[in-house]
Amino acid sequence: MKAILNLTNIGQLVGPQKLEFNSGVVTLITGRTAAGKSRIIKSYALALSYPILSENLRNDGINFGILKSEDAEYLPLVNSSKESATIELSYNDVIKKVELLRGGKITTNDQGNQKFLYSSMLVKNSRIHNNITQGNAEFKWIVDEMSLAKDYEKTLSAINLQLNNLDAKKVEVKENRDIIAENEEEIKKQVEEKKQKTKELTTKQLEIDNYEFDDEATEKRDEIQKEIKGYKNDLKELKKEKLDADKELEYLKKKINAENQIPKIREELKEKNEKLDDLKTINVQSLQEEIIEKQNLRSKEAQGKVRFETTLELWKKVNIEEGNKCPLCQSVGKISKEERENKIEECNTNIKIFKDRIKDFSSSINQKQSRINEKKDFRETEDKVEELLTKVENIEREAAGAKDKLKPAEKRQETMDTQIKKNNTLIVNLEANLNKLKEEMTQEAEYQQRVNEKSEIQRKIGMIDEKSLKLKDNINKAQIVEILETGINLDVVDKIIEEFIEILSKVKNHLDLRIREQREGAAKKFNASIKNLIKELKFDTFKEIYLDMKNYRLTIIERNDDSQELSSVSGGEKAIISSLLQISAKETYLSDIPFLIGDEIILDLDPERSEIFLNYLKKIAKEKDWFIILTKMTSDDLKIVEI
Amino acid sequence: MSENEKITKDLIEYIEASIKGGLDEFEFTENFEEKLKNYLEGKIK
Repeated sequence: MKAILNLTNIGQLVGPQKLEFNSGVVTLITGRTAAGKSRIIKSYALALSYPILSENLRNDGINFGILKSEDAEYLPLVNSSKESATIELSYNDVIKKVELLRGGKITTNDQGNQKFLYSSMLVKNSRIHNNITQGNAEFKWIVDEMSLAKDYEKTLSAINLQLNNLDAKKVEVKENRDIIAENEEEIKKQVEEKKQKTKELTTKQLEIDNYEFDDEATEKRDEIQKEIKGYKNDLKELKKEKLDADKELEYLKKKINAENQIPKIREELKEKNEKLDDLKTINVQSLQEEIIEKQNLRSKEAQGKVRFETTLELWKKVNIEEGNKCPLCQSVGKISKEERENKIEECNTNIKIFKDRIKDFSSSINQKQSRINEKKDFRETEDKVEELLTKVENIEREAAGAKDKLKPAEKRQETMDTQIKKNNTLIVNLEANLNKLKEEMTQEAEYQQRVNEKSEIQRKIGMIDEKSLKLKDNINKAQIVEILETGINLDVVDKIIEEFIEILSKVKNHLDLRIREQREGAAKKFNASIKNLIKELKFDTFKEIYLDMKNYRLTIIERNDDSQELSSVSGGEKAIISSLLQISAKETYLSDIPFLIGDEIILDLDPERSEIFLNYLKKIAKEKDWFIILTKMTSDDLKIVEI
Repeated sequence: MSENEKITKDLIEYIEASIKGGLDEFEFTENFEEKLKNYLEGKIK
């Protein structure tokens, strides 16, 4: 059988590349780094496994470099200078064509088998190899992947989900019953409360029916209050007008009383007229001439007086004993004391006469000057007379006017008084009526209070009804439990839940059994294959290698029957175990796909073991007519050789 | 065979058929719930 692999734009390759492989032999691809070895085995892996739906296997695909990780921008297999690539694989009657777009899209014309990735890849970064090198003996995943256990597990998850939901529903049913009990209890309380409130309502209605009052009292009160307000406003206006009237009357009376001043004014007027008559007699010019004359006369008298005063001084100085000259005539002679005294007296008498005359003249001058001064008051006196006459005239005129207005003013004041009195009486009467109405209104207020209380009771009854409805609604809602979008009454829900739990538990038991069967079946086949391979290869290091049937852990039994932990096995032994398991997995689980792809994992073993494995691969390649393709690093260009 | 036994049998047969036919998890879950719903409705009628 021949396999033809046509690659275009894969890896470092730009353009097409055609490769041919024969079945029944082991083919070795050799070459230096980047010669194109890995693109060939990756192309086989992708063509034979795609589409890869399992999440775990997608990770394996990413690790192998055939799928794009989420954070990567491009598919690793497509040449970086090209937007697309193709892989065409034909063997026997199978033609697989895989188209790859650089952005990540992959399409295939023929479904591959995703299990190829871990059961037909004899490579160092396979899941089996990773498990072994990491010392992880857990191989439950391979029996799950290699059997239908995983599918049964998925259906079991759906059953468990429903069983969990039913358990949750049981809790919900219990809670709903509690809700119903609580709400029923509350409804009872509400019924009792409503009874109580209904009684109160009846009592209140009786109280309301017993009230009697003028139901128009409020309206009447409002009218009276309005009327009182009106009268009070009028009263205010009247009092204002009355005040004006009082002021006017007082003014008029004052004007009339002013007539009492007239006699006194006339007396003053008479005096002023007499004075005026007197002043008219004063001749200022004549008086001034008389004053000048008097002043001259007074001066002569003053000179006379001075002359006698001088003579007096002389006489006082005369020496009586020795004789002196006469002070007047200068005659020398003896002058007696008596004579001198007489002369002195005569002088003093004359001086006195002159003084008196001077005094009289001065007095006369002053009198005349005084008269002249009086004459200066003439105009003023005239004005005063005029003023007094006008005053009298005004008083008489105003008094006459006031007398004319007095009676109407008195009448007006009287009218105001009457009106004010009348208004006051009306207000008093209205206020009396208002007090009566207030009594009526007290009754009405009490009545209204009862009506309000009745409304409050009715409102509370309404609230009770509303709350009761809500409680009933809560009960109705709690009566129904929704299972699978179907409302089920509490009366039957327990039975239904229990029945469904019983049904699903039985299905679950069946699935548990099937899962166990599947795992055991897969493990047994795997174990048998490993056992045969060990026997075939005559590996004397291990007596037995198998998966235990309880936890599907890898168990290693040494030749001396001792059990050995995988983690304590040497690196070389791990490589052998890994190769054993990978070849066994291929033979056990995917022998219908005639391809086994590998890297240097076998060739890197010690020469003896490597030879044993290689011979075995050659044998099964021939027996099963498989394509077994291995790569090997050399320093040469790419070569494909059958060995 | 009681009604519940019939339902159990029916469900197991459905699961086995689904797995043999290549299990589509989403489709299975949807149909499985639909089946349970139908049984439930049948019971409450």
